[in-house]
Amino acid sequence: MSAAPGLLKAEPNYTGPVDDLFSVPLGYVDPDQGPEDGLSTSSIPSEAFKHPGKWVALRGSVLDTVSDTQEELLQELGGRRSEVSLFHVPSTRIFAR
Amino acid sequence: MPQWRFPYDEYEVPSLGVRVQAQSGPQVELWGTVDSGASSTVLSIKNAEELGLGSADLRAARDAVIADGSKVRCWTVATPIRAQVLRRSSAEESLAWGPVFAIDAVFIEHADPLWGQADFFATFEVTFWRNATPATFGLSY
Repeated sequence: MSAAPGLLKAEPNYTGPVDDLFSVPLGYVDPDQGPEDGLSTSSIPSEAFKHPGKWVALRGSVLDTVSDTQEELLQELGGRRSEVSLFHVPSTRIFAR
Repeated sequence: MPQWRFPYDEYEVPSLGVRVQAQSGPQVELWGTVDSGASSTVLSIKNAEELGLGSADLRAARDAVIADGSKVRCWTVATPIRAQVLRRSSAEESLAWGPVFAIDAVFIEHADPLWGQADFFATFEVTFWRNATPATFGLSY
């Protein structure tokens, strides 16, 4: 399938992941993003939910680091921050959060 | 239209990983909730720091009313912010998916990210299949 009208198609000179989101136009679609349609088979790993109220760092779908606070987690990660995603595990199943 | 479906998280929340970058700042990956009730994307002051935005960049805005009806202080920034959705590959890696889009974020003191109406929902057609098993939500562009 192609991008909707009005969205920019990938240009041949854009290759690989975008390291700087400001180096491409708004609406840019990475040509290497893989299939346009699909279902993510996993999201946040179940393990993360064994740490309610904590901050966790995820490397892909793998639990990397667990800390009490975001500050502690960032300190612990140091230069590895760019390699992980941060997620605050809810302390309860009762939302809003 | 290209479409990707994402599972709800274990607490039955439509959580989504997004990489976010303020102009001239580092990219950070954040997990937040796809929230149709949020007027725009909501981030925390700590997120602002991670994005390389300092207190001098934050401009006080009108108080915002949050879900429980209380008012909280909030800030905006003039620095452009962009984002791209992340999906999981079969190898459990994070891969960018879909267009680069602009975020018009409101920052509050303490918040987990909310992907809201003015930016996220303005970019994607969002469909929730909360009644399905397992529950999923889909993004199209």
